[in-house]
Amino acid sequence: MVLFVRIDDRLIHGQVVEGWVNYLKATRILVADDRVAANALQRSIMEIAVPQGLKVTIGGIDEICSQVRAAGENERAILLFSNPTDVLQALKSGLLCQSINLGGMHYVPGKRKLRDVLSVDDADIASLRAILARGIAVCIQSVPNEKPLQLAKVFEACSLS
Amino acid sequence: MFDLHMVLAITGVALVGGLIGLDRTAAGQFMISQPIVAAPLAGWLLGDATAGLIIGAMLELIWVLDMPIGSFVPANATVSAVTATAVAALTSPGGAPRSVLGFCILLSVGTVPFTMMADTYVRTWNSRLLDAAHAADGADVARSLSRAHLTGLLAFFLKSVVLYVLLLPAGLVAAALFLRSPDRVRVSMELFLMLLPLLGAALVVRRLSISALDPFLLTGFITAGLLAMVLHLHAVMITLLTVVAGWLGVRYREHRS
Amino acid sequence: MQSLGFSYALLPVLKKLYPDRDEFEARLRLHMEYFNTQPYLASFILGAVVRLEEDRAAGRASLSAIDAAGLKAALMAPLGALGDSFFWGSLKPLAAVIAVALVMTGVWWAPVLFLALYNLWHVGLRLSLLFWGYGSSGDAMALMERYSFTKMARLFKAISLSVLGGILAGISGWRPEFASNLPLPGPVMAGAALACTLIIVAVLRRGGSPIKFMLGLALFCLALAYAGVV
Repeated sequence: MVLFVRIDDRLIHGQVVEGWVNYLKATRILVADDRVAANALQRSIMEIAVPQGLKVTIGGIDEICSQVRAAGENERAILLFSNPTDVLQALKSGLLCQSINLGGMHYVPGKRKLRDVLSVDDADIASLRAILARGIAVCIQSVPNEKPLQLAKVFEACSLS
Repeated sequence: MFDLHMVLAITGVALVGGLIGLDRTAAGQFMISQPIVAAPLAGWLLGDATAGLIIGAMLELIWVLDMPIGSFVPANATVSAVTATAVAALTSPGGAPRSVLGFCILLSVGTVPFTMMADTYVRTWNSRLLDAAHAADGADVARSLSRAHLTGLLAFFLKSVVLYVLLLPAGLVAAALFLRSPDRVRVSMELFLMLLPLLGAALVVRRLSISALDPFLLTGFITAGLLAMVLHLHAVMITLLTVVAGWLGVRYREHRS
Repeated sequence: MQSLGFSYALLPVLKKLYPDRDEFEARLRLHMEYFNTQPYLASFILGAVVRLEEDRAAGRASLSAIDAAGLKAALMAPLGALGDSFFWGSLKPLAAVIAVALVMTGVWWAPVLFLALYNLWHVGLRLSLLFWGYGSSGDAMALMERYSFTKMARLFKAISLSVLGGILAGISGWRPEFASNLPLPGPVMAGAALACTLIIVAVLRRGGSPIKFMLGLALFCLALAYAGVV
């Protein structure tokens, strides 16, 4: 059972393993990212860096999506994507979810900084809009004890909607 | 109320608190800024180390797992602890009574929104310094980087000082009002202080334990209980033995699986 | 924000390695890109980056070797996860819980012990991580085999819980500021403390910030006082 879908360009890091995993009592982290899945070194580092007892599955977007559909109800999983375009691809190939957490899209030159943890380029904006258009709520919140912020409101405030 | 002595004390706390606060960020992170160290230090400087120890220990339990993970800015437990201790020590020169200790810990809650606001603001300001360093051209990159580093530290120091200068007088006024409050209010704060260790313990247990009735929590509880009843060991010895009991518990678990 | 500190720490190294001004500037700018990890484990990455930059400047870097920027990008998140759960999630609470246990029994040197316990690990690891990063050119897999952080984290968490159990069991020996005037025998008090704590944990599981719970507890106490219970 996927409890939580998150967009975070760093994928597995402290906010996920110490923040959300504890808060949601998750037992597995699913990482859906074609680039990381193809990089053996980064995969093995990610698998070994998480606390004992927490399982990690790293795979391409389509691979993870088909696993999610097949997964049983007894496992509490967090599903991670590195960018909204990947999420859109997953939604198009049948991933079901009501809400998405936006944890971190960091600034690189060429992006526009909307909030501290949210920098976007044109492709990001287009994908995020498409996700919102599907009726899925997108919340900006890096850790559980931070106040969530609706993406739609941020877009409005930055006159992007 | 705010005579020369008080003004000097507030200034002193603001400066020392500002220095201690640097430990939270760039200058080392040696944990001097943790409530359990910062509060006794402030209390000792103001002549009431005991108040510092008690306030520090309670705020430590309450905030220890509110972590600075990633770029998240947690509540500034240093400012809370130092403010609470200073208010307690300055309000009750002869040693703060229990009700005042309880009230000051409760009061420290009020500092949290202000500290979070200030920390976030300074961080945003600092990241603008970095952007400026990015934008600097030619040979200036290295120089503006060094300058940004130092200005960043100075900004954190000044932020703490300003916070203390604003929060301490407000806290002292609140404490003065509290001292004039009805008996029942003061009694309730004594009870609050007595129950705080349980709340603190629960906050830590929530984050560390896997199951509702954690086996390690029970191991320590039973070990300490039996040792105190049967052997009448010294409390420090018992704490040491609960450490050993936890370690043995983990070894046993590994052995079994 | 951490990129500021990181590039600042690299300044002297880059200056020495790249006498050519344009190259120096280009490398420095490269290291000013977004960087965020656990601050102590940053020293492992720093060591590794110094080594990679040295190799690069000396022309020793083979074509297949990973570039310093790529290494930073690959390591910062996993090492952040590791460091956050080890240092912030395990070592700090362990040192804190032991110190609090001592404060509750009236020991004045508890803060000193807290600093000693924490920094013995912290400073030792931080220094050795810097050299380990340099020596292994950032081989994080070897690092994790050498220091079993996740195993230690689990051990520290278990010990913290055990010590917390001990604190609750010792309630009748708590320092006078926390003493209650209830005429109950020690074991009953201890059992009640454990039960209360577990009830609060059950309530806490529903979430909420420490602030809400402190305010809630204060209101509860006020209500009891006005109801004449205490």
